[in-house]
Amino acid sequence: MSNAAITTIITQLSTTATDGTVTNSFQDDVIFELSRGVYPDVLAQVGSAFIAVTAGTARYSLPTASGARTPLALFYDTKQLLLLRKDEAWAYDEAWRNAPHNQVVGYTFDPEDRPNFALVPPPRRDGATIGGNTPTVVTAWPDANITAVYANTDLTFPGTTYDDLKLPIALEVMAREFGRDSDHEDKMMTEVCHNLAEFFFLMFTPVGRPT
Amino acid sequence: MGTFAGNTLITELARRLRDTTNVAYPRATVLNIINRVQDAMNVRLGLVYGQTTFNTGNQALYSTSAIASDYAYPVQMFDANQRELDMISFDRLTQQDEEWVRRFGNRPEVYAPIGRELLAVTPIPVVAMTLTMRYVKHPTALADAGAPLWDLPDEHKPLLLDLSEALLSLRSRDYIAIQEAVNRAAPKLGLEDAAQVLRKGTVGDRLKVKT
Repeated sequence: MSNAAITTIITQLSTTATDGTVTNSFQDDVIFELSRGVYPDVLAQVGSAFIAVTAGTARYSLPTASGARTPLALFYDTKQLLLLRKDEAWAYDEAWRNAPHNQVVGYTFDPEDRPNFALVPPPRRDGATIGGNTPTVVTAWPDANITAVYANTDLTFPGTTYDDLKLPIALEVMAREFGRDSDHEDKMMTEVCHNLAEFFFLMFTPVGRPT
Repeated sequence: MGTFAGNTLITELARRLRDTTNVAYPRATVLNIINRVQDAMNVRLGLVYGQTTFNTGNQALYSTSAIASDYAYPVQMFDANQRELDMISFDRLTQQDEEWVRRFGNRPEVYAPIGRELLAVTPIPVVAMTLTMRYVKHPTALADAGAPLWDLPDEHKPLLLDLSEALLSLRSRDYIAIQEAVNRAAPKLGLEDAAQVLRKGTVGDRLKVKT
């Protein structure tokens, strides 16, 4: 997928013919990297979701189908959970750690596949029906479920609130496109585009706030 | 609001680029880059604000695009009695109150932007109220015409032209012109360090240009 506005900037500034398939792929790469925190202090796409809890089940997944990548905060019911390293989680008594309890203290990623996390200890009861509620539109709070706030990835890059990022993304894509082996390879262009991209990524952070 | 229109800025930039007939630098291309640059400048420097109101709901998280489509980041927020809320970082919010996502009170006390798409306002007021938010906005897009006039203050025109010139010079691969334009712009943005990095990337270029 690609964003037409980013593609337009690439076309307008490149002048030489670039490979559209490759630049679209690079565009996806950069947008993925934004949600992984590759560019310091540049966080634009975020999301939130309720995750239904089943009694006695410890392991849950972030809603990756809707773009969730990296959790920024996880809650069990109303309480924010601690992120536990495996050795911290394992420091709890094993019988207590694996037995369902009313109160969950934390979550851990270490022994799980990447989009999954495990609650420590597992919750004792089923969560209330979530229905049409979302964390940003709550008619009735669905008790005892997980609320996830996370860095998000939408490869179409549709938001108007982060429109200023399209320019540095286009520049970084140009840097990669002109850096690879092709009939339009141009190492100097790569270097300058990459540095301009860094320059404009820094402009994402308001002056006066630490960069 | 400033007094410059898109057509004036395009013409002035075309003269800088020695292309008054817009053969090498089409007017649509110049206009798009001007719009991208004024957006990045305003995010960095916080020159133009918008103001809007929104009603609190039964939740602490709000979608920013639903509040204002031209939102970039918040500057001030006031409750219904015109008392100002404190803005804190999301990291601090999560450290200060582990139940912020479901904390209720008579009036909201703090707000925290999360990326560009979410805004946390907590505690949740028991009785819904209207909040007023002032925010840095994405400026109105200019057209190749005498209207609309640009949102930014007129004294920032040199910065806009410098950055636009730097980007458009990618078309001609004029790396020294890019460096010189960025050198002029960087101190006005507090980005002198980033300009130094750019200079390192173009050192070898003096061997093949301006002989």
